Amino acid sequence: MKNIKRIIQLGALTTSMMVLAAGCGTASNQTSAAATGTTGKSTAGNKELVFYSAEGFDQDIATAFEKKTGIKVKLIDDSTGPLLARMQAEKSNPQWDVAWFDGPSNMQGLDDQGMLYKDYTPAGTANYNDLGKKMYPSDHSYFPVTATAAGAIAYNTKLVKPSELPKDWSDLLKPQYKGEVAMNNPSISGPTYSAVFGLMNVQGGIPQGESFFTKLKANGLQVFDSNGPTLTNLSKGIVKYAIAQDSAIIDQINKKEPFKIIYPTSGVTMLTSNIAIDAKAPHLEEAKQFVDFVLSAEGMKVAANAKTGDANFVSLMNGEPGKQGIRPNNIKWNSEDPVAGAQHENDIKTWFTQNIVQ
Amino acid sequence: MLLSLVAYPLGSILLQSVFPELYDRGFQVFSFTSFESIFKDSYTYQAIVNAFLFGGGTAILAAILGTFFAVLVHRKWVYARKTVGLFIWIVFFTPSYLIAEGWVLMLQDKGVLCELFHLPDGSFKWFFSPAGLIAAMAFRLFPVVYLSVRSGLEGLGSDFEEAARTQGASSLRVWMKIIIPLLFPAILAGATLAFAESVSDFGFASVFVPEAHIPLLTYSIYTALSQMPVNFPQVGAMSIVLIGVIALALWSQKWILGRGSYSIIQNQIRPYRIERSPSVFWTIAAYLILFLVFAVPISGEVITSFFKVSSDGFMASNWTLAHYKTVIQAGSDSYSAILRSLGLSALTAITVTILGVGLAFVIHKKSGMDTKILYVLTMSTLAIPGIVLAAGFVFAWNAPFLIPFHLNFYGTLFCLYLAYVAGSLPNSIRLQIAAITQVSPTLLQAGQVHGAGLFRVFRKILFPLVSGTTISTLFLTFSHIMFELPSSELLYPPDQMVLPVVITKFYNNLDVENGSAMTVLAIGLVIAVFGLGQLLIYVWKQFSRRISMRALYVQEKSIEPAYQMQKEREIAE
Repeated sequence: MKNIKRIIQLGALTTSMMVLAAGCGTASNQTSAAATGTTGKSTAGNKELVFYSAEGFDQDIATAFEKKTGIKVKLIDDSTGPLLARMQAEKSNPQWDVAWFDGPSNMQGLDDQGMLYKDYTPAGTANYNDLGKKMYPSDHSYFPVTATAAGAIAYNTKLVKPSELPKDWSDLLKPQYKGEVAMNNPSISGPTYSAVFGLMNVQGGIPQGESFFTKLKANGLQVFDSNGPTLTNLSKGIVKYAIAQDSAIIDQINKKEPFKIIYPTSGVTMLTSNIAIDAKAPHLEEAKQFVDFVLSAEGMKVAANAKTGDANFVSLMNGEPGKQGIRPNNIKWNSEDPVAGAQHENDIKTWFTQNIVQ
Repeated sequence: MLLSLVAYPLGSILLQSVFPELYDRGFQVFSFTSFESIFKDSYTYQAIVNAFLFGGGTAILAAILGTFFAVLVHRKWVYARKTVGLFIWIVFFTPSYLIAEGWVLMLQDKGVLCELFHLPDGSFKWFFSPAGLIAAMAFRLFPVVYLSVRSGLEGLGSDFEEAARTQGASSLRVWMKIIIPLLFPAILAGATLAFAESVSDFGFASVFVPEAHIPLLTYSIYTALSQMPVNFPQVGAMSIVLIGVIALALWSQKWILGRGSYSIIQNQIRPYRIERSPSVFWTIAAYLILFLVFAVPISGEVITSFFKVSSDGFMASNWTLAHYKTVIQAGSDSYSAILRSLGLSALTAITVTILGVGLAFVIHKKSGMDTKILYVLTMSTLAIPGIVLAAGFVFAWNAPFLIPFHLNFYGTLFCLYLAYVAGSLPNSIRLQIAAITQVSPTLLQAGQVHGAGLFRVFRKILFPLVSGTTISTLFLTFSHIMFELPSSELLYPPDQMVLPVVITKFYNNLDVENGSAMTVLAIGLVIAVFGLGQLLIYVWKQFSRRISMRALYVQEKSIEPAYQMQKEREIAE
């Protein structure tokens, strides 16, 4: 037995040495993280900001902000799902300052958990147009920045004649579209939940909405993970129509895919991207500056010029600093109620997973 | 040390299943509601049943494939054994989400195969079924069995076989009555591991389930994680269910082994004498299977990486190398991510290997309660999907009560490193135990009797005998970590991306071509490191042989080796 102890000791020694070496390697990061993350104060002259984002243009915005202010932006770019999981796992001791992603109900969910800072009104909010005002929450916990249609209908122009096109959502239940429609899974794709919830409201409520999707499934609806696979399958002709976020469809059109978009007559759900400050932000002042920058005409211009699908947004500001002429003017925009959206989110996702996906 | 590494992060997520407000109000609120809610749901039952069904099916198929290849390679029935070994090893480290994605790329309607052979839609619908899922998972996991059976074969001398032959037993009879039964523990060990991996695998679940509509445990965990607010109590509860399922498998493995005597010869390990020359038939069979299990799924990635626009398909004008140039531009995010991942993977591999040898030795020799706890702990990390373990690390190393001690590792590369170690330790321990089991205790005793110190016994006897496994563990861990996604995604520090995160980012931005290029590049890099390692080992061996020859010469003594050294195993098989 004695020799075993020796061997364990030896092993422990070697590993602790390894760990030590590893510690040294990352020491600089650790100290900086310790200095900023744990004390909750930032030292002058070494200003920084931790920015969690799921937007395609986040890196461009961060770089532009760094250039303008000299404040170092440390970015975590991830899909909305893992990003939200990370933020909520951090809840007891948050490390982020500013977060920015799609979906007001997601923000509302964080707000409901008391995670968002409410005592700041950025100057840019005065410049909201009617759409922007409609989406701006009364408790000022987060700020709408850009908007897209959560779900519009894309079709493959190689496979569909203009005369065959559906006009509204209910047309998709007709036998002529059997097996030709695809959409994303709301449990995996962030914007899709908003699209599903909005569509249910268009149908008159959740029970009517559930019946709509059940009929759609009976008519051969195919469900793929997210915009990527869904639009790939549209491009390959596995389906002729795909319900997807319109900015992603526009991006594919710009990449020369043979797609066009139908905005159904009963309306599409407006999906805003929202920015928020952490209630316990380690770098509160820098966070405020950053949000101000994002909501300024200058920040919007950076976002609109980035090389990403997310840059194809609808502007929520007066003076329209976004891209022009990428959407028809007669779109009927429906706005979902984020409080109700957050309330029903789990139930609807679970119902969808078990009844439509499976 | 190990406690902080595994038990603490694991506990911080599992405990939430009964203390739902652990991180808000500590241990005050105790409830079983999360368990109630998951057991009220018929979906959960279906998922548990499926876990056994799919895990079992995968384990059996993987056992057959793994044993087949182990025998072929070990008994030298195939040409170019090293290549076969190399391929199996590549299959093992390629992350499951890539292989799964590859299968879909190849086999979906209008996928690569359909385009190549102009097949109608629905030609491969049969693949996206329960049977297809089992096959795909077994194709991915058979190397586990292969590794385990290979070390079993090495421990199996030819004595019994020769005895039986002398008595006139036929070849088939020898296999059925002697070799397979003697190998049974090794096969079972590998199969159990394959079972555990398949049940906790998320890569296949996420790719196949939306297409094939099969309730799986890992998939429900993912759904709970994507709820708003995240249902961590339910994640914890389902993880416990998952651990239970795998514990049951491990326990039944023990139970089966306990019933009969399966003791492999432990004393004289004599290398098997080659009697047969390699056969063309087996070689072709082996390569065909390897082609099916690996080349088919992965070539989707390779082909895509050379396309300018993937949806344009096979056109002469559509081939390019530009994507490779983009991803390795010096100073770019992806370039520094590659360097960062290389460093982290190497460090993790070394740590895990050293820890693995030590812990395997302890677990093998001792049978007390503490050892059992140790064993269960490391196996639990095997059972739990990476993303849950990673969330545990966030809770654990970001906890407010650590602030006064400056122990908030979360948000540093060190935390990511800890998660990597915790995630790959179980496999390391398992492999090392298999190797140590073969070393007869009498060898160590003999060393001690001859006056060798303890350290000397470890260094001169134990280590040389298990060094083959040790080195393969080193490489396996290294290549596995290079592609580890779930922990990387949740734990990478701000502004310090690692390789798998960059790959996923490309895919998320619908930049499939760059994503594939990055993947192919990384696989190439891992193979290059492997080649370099092989070269170093070769040089070192030559060098040490020369030194020891000179020593013998100087001492003018010829020493008969006290025991028959095991033949040098090829590395990383």
